[in-house]
Amino acid sequence: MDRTGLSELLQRACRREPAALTELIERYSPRVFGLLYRLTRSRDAAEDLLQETFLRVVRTIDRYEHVGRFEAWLFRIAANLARDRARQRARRGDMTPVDVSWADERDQPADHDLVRATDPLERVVQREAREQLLAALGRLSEPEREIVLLRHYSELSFREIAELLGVPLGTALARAHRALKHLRAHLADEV
Amino acid sequence: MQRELGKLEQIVEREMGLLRRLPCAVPDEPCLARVRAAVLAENQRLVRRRRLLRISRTVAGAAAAVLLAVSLRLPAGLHSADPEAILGEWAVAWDASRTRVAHLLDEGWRGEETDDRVDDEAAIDDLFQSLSQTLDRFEDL
Repeated sequence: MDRTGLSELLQRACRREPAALTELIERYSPRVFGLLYRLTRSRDAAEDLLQETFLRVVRTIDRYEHVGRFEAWLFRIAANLARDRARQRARRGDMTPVDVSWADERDQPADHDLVRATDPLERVVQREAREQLLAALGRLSEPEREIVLLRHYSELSFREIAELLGVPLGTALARAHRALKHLRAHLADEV
Repeated sequence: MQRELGKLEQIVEREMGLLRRLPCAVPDEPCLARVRAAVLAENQRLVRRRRLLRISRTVAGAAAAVLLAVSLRLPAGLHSADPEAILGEWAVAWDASRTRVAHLLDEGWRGEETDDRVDDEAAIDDLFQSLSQTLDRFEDL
């Protein structure tokens, strides 16, 4: 959707038109859910937080000022909710295991793989590559996982992500660089 | 400094290619249906609350204007009744009206649990009743 279209959609959402709110949900749910699922490593938690994210949006949409990017506002809400949940779990000493395997059968191949998915052997290779990537992501620290997943799902620039996280751009970039370096090392271990 | 950050950003963006194989985790349709329903219900509740806020402000404004008009028309020397007691009763009635309005604003309506129309009309009737009683107190002066 181009910026003009989004601007009109947000104006209608600010006027609380149900169809506009539904359209926002349809449009952004996949990416928001993707982020929440990969951050929480729990489908149930991601579903709850997805609902809470959009409830917060609807409660404050009429005060939203479209000066920045809507995605920055939306993903800030989602990331904060995920972080709050992680803190609550830590405070409670919640040792409930997260989904051991991130590879959910409902997961769809990445766009990158869809093009080459015809050969059975290729599909096996792709599946293994996905599982290795997910395992390697699971070994990152929470802040490192958060920043690379935010970049991946929100499609915001690192400057916008730095603002969202309340850190300087240099810190955000350094954290992402460190995260990807660790990710590469873990991937090498997984092979 | 900015140049170094720019270079670092380019390096990091290139390295983000590591995540290109990340599977697309998508919410299933029952989850989406729940989210839509919850959001639309909350939206409806907020729309009603905003409508009541507008009504109550209009009514409160009108009541204040009437009270002012009544107070300005009070004949001089009308001090046979105990003015402090009457003002006290009026203040209590006015507080009760404001409390009622605040309660309605805070609690809102749970449209999905009750019949919306009945709640709307009954609650607004109560509000007018309460304000009418405060005006009656003042008319006794």
